[in-house]
Amino acid sequence: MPDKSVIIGDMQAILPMIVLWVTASVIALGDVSLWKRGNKAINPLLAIVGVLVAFKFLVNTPRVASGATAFAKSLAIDPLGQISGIALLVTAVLSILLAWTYLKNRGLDHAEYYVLLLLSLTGAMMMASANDLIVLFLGLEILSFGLYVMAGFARTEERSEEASVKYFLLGAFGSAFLLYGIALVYGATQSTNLEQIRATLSSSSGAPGPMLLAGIGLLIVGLGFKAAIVPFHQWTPDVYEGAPTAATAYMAGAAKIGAFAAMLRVFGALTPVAASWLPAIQILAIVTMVFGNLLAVTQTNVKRLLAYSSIAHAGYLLVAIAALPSETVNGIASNAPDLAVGGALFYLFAYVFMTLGAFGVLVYLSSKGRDVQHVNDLRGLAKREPAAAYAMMFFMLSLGGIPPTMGFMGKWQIFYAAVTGQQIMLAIVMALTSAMAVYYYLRVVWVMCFEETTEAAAPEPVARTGAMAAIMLAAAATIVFGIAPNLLNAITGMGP
Amino acid sequence: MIYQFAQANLVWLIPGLPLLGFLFHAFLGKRMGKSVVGGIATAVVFASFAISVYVLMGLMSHPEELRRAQVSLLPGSDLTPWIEIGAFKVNYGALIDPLSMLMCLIITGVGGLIHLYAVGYMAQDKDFSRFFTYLNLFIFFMLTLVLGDNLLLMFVGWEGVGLCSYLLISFWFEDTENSKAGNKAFIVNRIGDVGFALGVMAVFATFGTLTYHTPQGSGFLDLAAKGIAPAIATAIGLLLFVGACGKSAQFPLHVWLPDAMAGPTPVSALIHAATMVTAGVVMITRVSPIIVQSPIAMTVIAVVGLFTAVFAATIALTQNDIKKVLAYSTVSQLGFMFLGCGVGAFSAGMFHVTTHAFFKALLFLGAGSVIHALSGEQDMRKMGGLAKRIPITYWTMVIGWLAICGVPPFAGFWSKDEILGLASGAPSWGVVYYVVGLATAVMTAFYMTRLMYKTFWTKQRFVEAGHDAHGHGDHADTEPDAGHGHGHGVHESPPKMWIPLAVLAVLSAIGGLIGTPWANKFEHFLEPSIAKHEAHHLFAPNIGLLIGVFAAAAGILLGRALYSKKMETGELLTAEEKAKNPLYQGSANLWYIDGWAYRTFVIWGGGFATAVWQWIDKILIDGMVNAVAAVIGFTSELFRRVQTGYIRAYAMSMLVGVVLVVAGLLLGSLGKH
Repeated sequence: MPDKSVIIGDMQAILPMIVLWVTASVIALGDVSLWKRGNKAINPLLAIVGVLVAFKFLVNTPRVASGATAFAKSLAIDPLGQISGIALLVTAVLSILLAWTYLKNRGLDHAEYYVLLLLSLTGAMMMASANDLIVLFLGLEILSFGLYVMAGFARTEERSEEASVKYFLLGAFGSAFLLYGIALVYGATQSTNLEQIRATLSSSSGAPGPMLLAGIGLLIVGLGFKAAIVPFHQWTPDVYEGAPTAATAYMAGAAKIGAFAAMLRVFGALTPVAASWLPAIQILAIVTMVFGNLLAVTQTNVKRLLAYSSIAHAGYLLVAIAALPSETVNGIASNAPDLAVGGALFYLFAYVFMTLGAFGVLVYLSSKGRDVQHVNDLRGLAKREPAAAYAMMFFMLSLGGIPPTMGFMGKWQIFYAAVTGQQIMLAIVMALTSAMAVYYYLRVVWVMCFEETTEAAAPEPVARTGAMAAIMLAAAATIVFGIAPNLLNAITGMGP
Repeated sequence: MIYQFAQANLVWLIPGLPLLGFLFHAFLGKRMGKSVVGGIATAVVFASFAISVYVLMGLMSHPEELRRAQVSLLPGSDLTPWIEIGAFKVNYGALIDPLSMLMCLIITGVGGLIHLYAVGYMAQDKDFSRFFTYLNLFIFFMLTLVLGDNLLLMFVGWEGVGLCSYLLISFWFEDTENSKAGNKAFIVNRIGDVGFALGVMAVFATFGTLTYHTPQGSGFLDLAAKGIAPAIATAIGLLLFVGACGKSAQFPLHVWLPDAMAGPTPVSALIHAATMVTAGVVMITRVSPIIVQSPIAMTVIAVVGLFTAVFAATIALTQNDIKKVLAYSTVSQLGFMFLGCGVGAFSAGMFHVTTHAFFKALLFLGAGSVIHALSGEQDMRKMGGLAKRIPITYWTMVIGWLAICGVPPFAGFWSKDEILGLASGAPSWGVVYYVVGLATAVMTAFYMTRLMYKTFWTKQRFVEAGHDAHGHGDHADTEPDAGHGHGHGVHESPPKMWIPLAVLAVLSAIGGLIGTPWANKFEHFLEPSIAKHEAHHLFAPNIGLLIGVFAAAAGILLGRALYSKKMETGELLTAEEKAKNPLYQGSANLWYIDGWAYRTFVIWGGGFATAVWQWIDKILIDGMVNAVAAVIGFTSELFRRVQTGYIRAYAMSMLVGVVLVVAGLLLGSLGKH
């Protein structure tokens, strides 16, 4: 376990989050006073500037390989937190670009959206660096509140409202389990600090008691809800479908990164008692991979299809979690945990680029009277909008894990971690279900390239630059990092 | 052994610029004018050439033992690992040494000239931008092949140039024959590529790395130089040579190259004469520290090279398509290069690569200019009398002809002679190498003289295009060779086309002087890149030179003696005599290899594949796959019903999940204790 004895300045540690919060406040206040009737483009622009400044501060935070802590050890300043932070900021940039286009075209161009996005981003970043279960919970709630409102941002639409309410009610249900789990773990270990918990668990020799086990079970449930793991996934397709597409994109990225960063940390701390929870994670991983992919097969709505796809990807990421405790294999020290963390982080980046890119194409095609989300809306896209169609093709190939894309490299890294960590069964299921997934991803490509447009020409969207920029960024990343994966490691400081 | 120098930091631009050119043409080429596309395509290659010269100057400013540098091919970064999987580590880096820089100069220099030529040659083609997209991509991959600091990058370049070659051979794909030629090239190359891939794996299995050299001396060539088991050297050497046979058209994998002439002539000059087909020689030279440790591999390489040289020369004697003659001549010259490698005269082989790039590119471009002048005619039986009609083309072709025949002081003389001289001193079979090689040289001089007679010196045998009902109007779409805008009968090519000819003619004339036996600067230059291997002459170099002159003279004079009597027809034998003569028939029919291979592999193999497809694939495998798909579809539909949309149902299923997870954890611990 990394020795987190180094302590860096509290304020320096949360500087990126402070920047995001300040930017959100400036947008909120400025929009009601300074540029009330002015050009609304200033809001997304400010938001992007804020995210970039936060990015600058984040990469400037001292890198301590073994990790440092701040705020009385409640925040971890380590590569895991910093790299997932970078992934979150990338998600934010892409989401803001998408929102810029989407909100304008759908007549929803209000500053509150960006405020909510930035504030929930703060929560996700806190979640990613939480070294304490309470801080983790706090981050999760801050993240979630923003998401609930963003899901219902198209107030006049029934589907959007429904999505918001569903997400909120089930989210509250999930949070309750998480909190209960935290309480039970605290009861069993006398601490909410993850390092402390790990220390207590490794020093105690007896079998874990029922209180601890129940606590761990509930932690799995609570985090599994956020990460959309079967059987806690059922909100996902409905919310993804109902929420405004730009919000769905952000939700898909930020919630997944936050949840998995937290899981990597929590289950890393629970390694000493891995024998008790590993079977549960293994079963959940298998169930999630199988059902996520299985249910995606018959979807005809692209947003629902991507929702099930995100469930399936959560299953792949769980495989990495399952490889986490393999600190020794056959008595020999193994690098499986490092591979698992590295693979999961790389996969999260890949997931962000390909999923946000795919949602981005839907955003790009949507206009005021028409919210593109059905597979049939994509018919003949290759002829109508070749750039968007080709980008979409790359996203689909990447989601399906076909080289030379990032999705392939990510899947490969997790696969390698799983094999190194002796999780052979999971690796096999992962390979088989990935094969199944290719079907529904390629069907989208087929529809775009080989079927004729049936509908009448849609009204030209008002502004599309933002969405196009996001799509191109994501497509370039999907390909470039697929060919040169180490480039990403070089940029983010990931890897050895 | 590895030294960094400032100029090396620009190396990434050498392949980078053609890559940019490729991207530009691929995305914007169709919207741009032809002058923009042609201009950019040519400019990026010449810019790469300029940078190559600059880098080479930096390299040469260091003492010999420091002429090796390793830099990243990504700008401004340290040596970035490209792939890193456990012990398998490969850089995206370049190895800068005399060998790689020599090839860079050839590829970008000759390549640039050919680009310029192609701007004129392809001017009327409707797919102008597609052509230059492929051509720039080819240059990028070829540079990757020679610059990469490891075998895997070479493999990437190797496959990349193969792809470009395929795309360019079948560039005019509306004609099925062209597509078939492209397929043939691609498929035959597969055979070689399997050998290469196995060779790469064998290197990794033996040395645990694919990098040539590292500063610590842990590259596989560094390790091999310390001595390895001959059996391993033989295995690696032969596997890699199989790859070289495919790409460099050595017997019996030579069959694709003559068919590859279906592509536009600049492609034949660039890819199928000057650069790509020499990749095999470059590769064998690069791994020379391994090759020299296996006498068996050396002998195989020399014998295959020698046989290919003489075999292809006999075919070239009777071909009537001007490009086919040059194609078989290329196969034959490549054989010479491998003969050089096989006797340990790697630098002589590379010297021949260099001079051959000059004079064969010149001859191909000249042939292209002839074809252009005759509105697409390639059959030499319908040429003749062109010497006065297209004088610039004619005089440059004369220089190319003298160079390939081996007349001093033209380029081909020095390199061919060096190979033959060193082959004569080979420990075993040296005399055989020498005599057969010399006979091939005589044949080369003869068939090239034949080409000159048939094309330029005999009486005109074609009908002026202006009076020809079969003018280029018919051909303009399918054979852009014919579609020049200003054609009324025979005409000289525009400056864009003859300037490259002139430059190549100068190089063909004097380019060989860097490697004369009295002052062999070339060999000295390449020394840091290749394995030391003692090679001897059987007799004094001066005598060898003299014999070489006689061989060239013999071939030329024989041609003159025979053809000067047939100035009207340009044919030595009548149709009847041809039909009766088994040697003529054998040569004209490519010694029946292609037909035999077609019957054996294509017909039989095709039948076998069809049976597998019909019985195993369609019924067994498809049946299984469809059954699985049906089950998945059914299950998916079934579970879709669970998604009711009601929050209470979702909450219920969550609760069931909670109970199962918690109960599972608790029961699991009970079971263990």
